[in-house]
Amino acid sequence: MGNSLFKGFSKPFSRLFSNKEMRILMLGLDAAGKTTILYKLKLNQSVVTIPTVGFNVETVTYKNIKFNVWDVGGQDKIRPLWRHYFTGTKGLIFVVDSADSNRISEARQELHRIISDREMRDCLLLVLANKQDLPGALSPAQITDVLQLDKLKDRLWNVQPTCALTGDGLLEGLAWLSQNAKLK
Amino acid sequence: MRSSQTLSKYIDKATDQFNLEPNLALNIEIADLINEKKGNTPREAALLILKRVNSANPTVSYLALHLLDICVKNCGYPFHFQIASEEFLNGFVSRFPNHPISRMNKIQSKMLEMLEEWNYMLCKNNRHREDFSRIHDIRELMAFRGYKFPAVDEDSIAVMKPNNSLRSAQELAREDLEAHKAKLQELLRRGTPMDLAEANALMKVIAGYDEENTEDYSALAAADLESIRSKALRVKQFLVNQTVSLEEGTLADAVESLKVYQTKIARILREENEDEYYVQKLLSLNDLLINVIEECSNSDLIHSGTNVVSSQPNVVESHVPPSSNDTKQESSLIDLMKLTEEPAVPSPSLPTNVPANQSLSMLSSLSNSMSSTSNGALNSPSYSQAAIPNTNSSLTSILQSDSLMISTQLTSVQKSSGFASYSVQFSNCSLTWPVSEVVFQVAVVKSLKLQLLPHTGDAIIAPGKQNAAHEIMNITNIPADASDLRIRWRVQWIIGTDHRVEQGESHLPL
Repeated sequence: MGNSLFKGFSKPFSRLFSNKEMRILMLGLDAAGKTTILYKLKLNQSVVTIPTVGFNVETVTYKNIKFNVWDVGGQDKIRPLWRHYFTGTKGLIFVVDSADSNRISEARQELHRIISDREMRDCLLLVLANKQDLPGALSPAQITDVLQLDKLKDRLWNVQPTCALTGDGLLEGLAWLSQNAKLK
Repeated sequence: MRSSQTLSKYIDKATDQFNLEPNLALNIEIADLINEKKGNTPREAALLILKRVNSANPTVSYLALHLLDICVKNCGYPFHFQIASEEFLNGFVSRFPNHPISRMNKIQSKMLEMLEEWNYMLCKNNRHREDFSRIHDIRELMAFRGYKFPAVDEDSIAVMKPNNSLRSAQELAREDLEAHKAKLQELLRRGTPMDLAEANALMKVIAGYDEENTEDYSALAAADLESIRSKALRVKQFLVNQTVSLEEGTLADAVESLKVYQTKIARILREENEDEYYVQKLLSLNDLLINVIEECSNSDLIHSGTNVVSSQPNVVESHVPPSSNDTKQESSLIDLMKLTEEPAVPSPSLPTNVPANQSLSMLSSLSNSMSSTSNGALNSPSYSQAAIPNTNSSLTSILQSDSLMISTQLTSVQKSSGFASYSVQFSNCSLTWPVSEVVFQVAVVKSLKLQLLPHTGDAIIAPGKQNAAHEIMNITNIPADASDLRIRWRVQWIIGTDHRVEQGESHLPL
């Protein structure tokens, strides 16, 4: 009776306190807002950023999941190096400047280049339609159309409208990632 | 995942305990796979092989060491960076006791030998040696504890000797980019704060934002040329004064070395090169090398150098050729320009002082093969698709040798405008060796204009193949009464591993 009681008690404890890590790769064109998003999540502050030439990496804990978020520079000279960050990635956050309609097709090309890589085959895709506060910003539905996300097969994806400066939409994005992360 | 499984299977097969001896072909296949896949493959391969090296079964250990040796010598930076890692090296030496025991087994001796080779190849003579310093450190630590390392066998590491390499600035930059990418991949994987800081700095170099830490590749390439130039001048001095010491040992070896450089320079010149200054240096060095090689082949010293078994560098000839003979025997591309005009009556209607338009023509590096419709038979009449359709035109032999054969054929002639066009065909008479790196140069008298067009065809002519490559010579300003054209030509090529040079004079019928 005593032994049985002990076993029954320990199991819910181990489940309750389990913690999970996710490696998140955050990519997108230069000036889409990646670094601003990273530090809004990390510090809950709007920091002044300069163009990222290398990368930033920070840990963000939300809903018992520890997100290791890698923010890699988006300038065209750095994009060939993105693939060196693919190994082990569980989720891709692709940040789009919703108000930059001139370069949205370039963003689409880069996105499809990333997810066609063998190492990114199984990862979740969260598209952040950033800068929703700006006039002329494309809506999430329009972003979905332009990025041709409906064509993606065997890929879990979501488009989340965000405003990095105010933080709107960011936690909702992380929530989606945590809900869809496969439990081991 | 698929490549990982393939790699794992291959390594299992190569180190199977039932193999009687190392499977050289499979080992090389594994090395090629590592070079081809990049990414995480070099690391996976290194760790898999390491596990086999540390197998309890001595046969498996032995086979794994052989595979490891092949990979180190046939793979580049990505694999070398892995065997220089703390993780790999600690595993590699894990079964050595702190101090050497009186008698080591074959496996341990082989491992010490390999460590010493790696130290020599990667920590002393490699451009990226700073990235491999752990090999040196662990070797020094073991030496301090009393381990004796065998001397490095020069032949065993000859494949990785950097001595005879000549690379353009673009090649050096490409080399470094591949190394930097592999290093970035590994630093990110390790992920310690120090590794990540280094990765960030490395990205700035790769992306071109950090010029201070980027090599000056033009300066490196120019320094290479300067050192080759010094070697050539030493050989030139040796022909006059045999007390000059040659670093290659014998005159014959020094000449072979210069020939290799000259071939490489010709190859670099065929690539697009935006650096005008560098191209000028290449052309000037090319001329010097051709000059020195010609002097050597005309000299008696080359033969005595070849025959001396002891390879004394200070061979003294009892009969030094007079300097006037040296001058006469000297020949170079400049001599191709010195064609004197025949004492014919010049036509007053044609200008006679037009400078010759020389162009060095080199075969295209394209590997596409072009099937020839020309009649391969020599000196047999054939109808060419000429401007004058009824003209009979025959093949004229320019060069016949045991390997390269060159013939030419008039394809078009317009006497009224003083224009003629010839096709030049290259064949390989050797049934054993391929012919490659053909460089064909032509000069005409000053009153004529010559245009030599590169043309597609085989860059490497297979044994026995006829008319495998073609060039076109267009000649203008031909006098109306001329019945033939006199040309001087020079050609160099490689047959198997031999370097050949020939030159001569030919008359082309009109």
